Amino acid sequence: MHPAVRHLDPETIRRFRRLDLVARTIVEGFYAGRRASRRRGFSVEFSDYREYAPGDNPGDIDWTVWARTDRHYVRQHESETNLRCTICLDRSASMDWRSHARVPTKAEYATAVAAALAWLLVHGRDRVGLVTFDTRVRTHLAAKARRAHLWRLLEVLDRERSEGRTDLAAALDAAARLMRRRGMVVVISDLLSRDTQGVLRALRHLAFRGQDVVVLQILDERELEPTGLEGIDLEDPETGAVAPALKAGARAYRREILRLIDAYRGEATRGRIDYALLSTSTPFDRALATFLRSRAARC
Amino acid sequence: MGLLLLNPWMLSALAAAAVPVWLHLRARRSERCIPFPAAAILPEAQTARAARRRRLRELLLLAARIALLVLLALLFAKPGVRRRTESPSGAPLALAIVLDDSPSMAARTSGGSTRLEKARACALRLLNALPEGSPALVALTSGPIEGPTADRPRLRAFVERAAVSFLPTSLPHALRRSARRLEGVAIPDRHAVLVSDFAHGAWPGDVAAPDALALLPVRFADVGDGEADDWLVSGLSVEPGRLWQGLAARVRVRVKRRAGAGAPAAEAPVALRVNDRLVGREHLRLEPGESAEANFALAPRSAGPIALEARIEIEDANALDDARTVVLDVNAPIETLLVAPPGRGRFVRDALAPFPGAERARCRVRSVAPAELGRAPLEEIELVVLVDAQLDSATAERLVRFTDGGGGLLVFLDPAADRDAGAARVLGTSPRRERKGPATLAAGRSALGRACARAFGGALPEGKVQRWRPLAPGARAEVAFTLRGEPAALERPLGRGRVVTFGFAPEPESAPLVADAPTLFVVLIHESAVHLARSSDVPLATRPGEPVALTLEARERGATATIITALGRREIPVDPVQLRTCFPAPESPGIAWVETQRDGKPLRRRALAVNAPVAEFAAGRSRPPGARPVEPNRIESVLAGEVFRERADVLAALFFLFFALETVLAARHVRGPKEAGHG
Repeated sequence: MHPAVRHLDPETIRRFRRLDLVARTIVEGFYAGRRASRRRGFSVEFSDYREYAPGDNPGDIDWTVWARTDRHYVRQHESETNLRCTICLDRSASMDWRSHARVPTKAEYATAVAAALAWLLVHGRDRVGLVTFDTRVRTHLAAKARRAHLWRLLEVLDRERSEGRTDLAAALDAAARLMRRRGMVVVISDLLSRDTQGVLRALRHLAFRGQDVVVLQILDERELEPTGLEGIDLEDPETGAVAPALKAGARAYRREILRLIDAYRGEATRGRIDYALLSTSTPFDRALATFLRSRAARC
Repeated sequence: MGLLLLNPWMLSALAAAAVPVWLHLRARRSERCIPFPAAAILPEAQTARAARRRRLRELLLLAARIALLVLLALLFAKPGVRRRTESPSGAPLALAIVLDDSPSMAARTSGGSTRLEKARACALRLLNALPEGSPALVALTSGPIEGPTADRPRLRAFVERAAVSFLPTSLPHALRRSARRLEGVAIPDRHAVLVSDFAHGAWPGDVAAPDALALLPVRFADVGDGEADDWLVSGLSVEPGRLWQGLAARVRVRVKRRAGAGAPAAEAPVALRVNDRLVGREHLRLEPGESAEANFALAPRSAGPIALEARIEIEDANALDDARTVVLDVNAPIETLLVAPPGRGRFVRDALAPFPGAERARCRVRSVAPAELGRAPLEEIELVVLVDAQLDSATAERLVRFTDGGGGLLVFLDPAADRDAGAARVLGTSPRRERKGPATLAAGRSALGRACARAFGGALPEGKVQRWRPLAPGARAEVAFTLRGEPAALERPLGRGRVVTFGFAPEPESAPLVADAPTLFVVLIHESAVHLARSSDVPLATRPGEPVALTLEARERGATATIITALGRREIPVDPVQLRTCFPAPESPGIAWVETQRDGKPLRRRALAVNAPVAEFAAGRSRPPGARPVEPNRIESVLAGEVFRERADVLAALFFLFFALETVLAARHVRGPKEAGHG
């Protein structure tokens, strides 16, 4: 396995203190993985290499290729359509949770995914913006393609903490009003809300306003496969409410989480959104692949 | 059916029931609560249902734990129930009957019988109703106890012999003794019954309840019927304290009436009898709670012991305290021999017998000339008074033997005796000493001197006569005796002479004296020396059981005295010092005789009055706290009543039931892992 591929392991990524390194490592690891894979699949990141010509952006030189071949090649992106992408990141308290110390919290995972996407987009000369929210919009950075904007975006991602309650539907509605131009919206959240229909309605609203919606639902593996919940009271970190131990325990909870996931999958099936369910133990390439697949479908 | 706890103090452990409550309140949700964001998607109805079930389960668990602690405390408190048994002909039981035989039980009830008779009837009915094979005991509050035994005739005889006792009684003590005796009986079903009038002080307030005192069920039957109308003689006194033949005295009888507050005033005659002969009767009218005095005059005609009895002649609730007795000695006049030259000593005679009439005199005086003293029958004389007497040695020796045998001697001297060496020689004084100052009757100088010292020594503590001075003829003086009962010296000038009086007067008296001699020293006395030297009297009145102190005096060493009373005789050595010995008074009221003997010969015989104590039967009632009453007419219901059975079995079963419940409930409160947490 290419060393860079290992960097797609969330456990490894947590060792990086600097978010820019995290983002870069993920992206390059993703690329390395793509090249290492025999299966081409869709290559939405770039279509081909070409020799470097004066005037090309030295940042497009693929230095790994140079290391192998000692020749300068630049990556030729399939599309340079100046995509305007806004990353909507959930910063509520429910994100700041993990089931055990070996995995990152959902917030850490989401932040790493968001940073990687931003890195990918800016280096692909696409515009990327950021909206962080809990019950309302906390931060809004308009989509730009500049590297300085990228650094600023990473700084915001690094600085903000996940706390407070969630009102996904209201936050997405508010975010929709902020995004005046059409583009792509990547919603990164755990989507844990009783008001599933309200969230879907907000997502449809985004789509109605001309946005291509990609939903990356991030859950902890224990939230996906609950075990040992019998006789345990469950406390909602956002509200502090305690749900007494259910008699059916995990069975009752699993039923509810599957219902939630099915609701979003159903919406994806109907073609209105792109949806991916990620676990905090899932390698980051999958998150990136989902994004790129969605982008390719719309380009 | 009543619940009874044998160890009620163990209930203090109930405070431990606060521990599970405190733990319940203190339990932190975080100990079995983990943060789980996905809980937000759980339906509210489902979580509310779970919350209700949880609360119910916690309350049940709390209740079970509290119940466990409460049951444990109750188990150690040894609970039991009293419930009615079936008929008395059932299983044998052990019974203790405590009968009150205090003086208040002599009071008559409205039915005519005394309270003690009523109590005896209750006890006999109980004994007759006992199931076969049931042991019983009967205890009297004065101390005697019979049983436990199944011998009914023996117990019945004991009950029928019970009589009012004048010894100290105690209901709690008798009950405790009875309960201890029943502990040795192998029958678990035990009962006790108190039969008393529960007069004031019968059950002191600081004594535990009968059930707790005896650790067995106790019932009480009250045979008293409330306040009764009772008259009693609360005091009997005689003034003066010493009686003399022919001399008047006053007897005071104090009477008190006790009755209910609503009772009207009533009248009762109070009679005084001397040696069973009625002396006087006075009627007193008293309200309830009031006291009064009846006064009687007394003038005994003959010497010797007399018994004075004051009695209230009325039928009242208690006859035992209606009379009081005092025994006194009436002293006969002192046989006095006045030895004086013819024409001398007239006023001495008047001083010795100031009142006309021999029968009223304290001294019966015979006069002889000094020359006739040697032939005088001194064995009939108690006091010899010398006035200017010149004695020869034989006569002086005779006087010495007379005084040694207890006789008294008084000497009156002419001032010329200062210069009369003969008289001075007799008295053992020297003229030089007399001229200088106080004359001292020196003991040991002469036989007569010793006799005088001994005689005067009883009157004057130091045997001294001070400041001899002559009397003037025709002088008059009033002499007053002011000290009662104590020998004292009083000095007054009388003309050219001096009067030194030393007396033992029970009350102040005064008598005019006229000196008819130009020079004469007068010594005036009311008591003769022989009386002063007599042994102290036995107390005149006492109470049953109280010790009596007897003072004896002997004139020679090696003497022994025998004390004979109604209780027996006792031999004791008596030295020539006062000896006090004690012996118990008889247990019953009446007159007891005390006789002292020496060498088998009677010395003295005195009467002692033993009076019944004042019964406090009507002054308030004191029922035992917490005890259950039973009607005296239905006393048998005690046997057909209740038994006490420990019921720890029920509590133990409940304890294990709650223990199982607590275990099941606690098992459902399983704590989960603590791995999940924040970032």
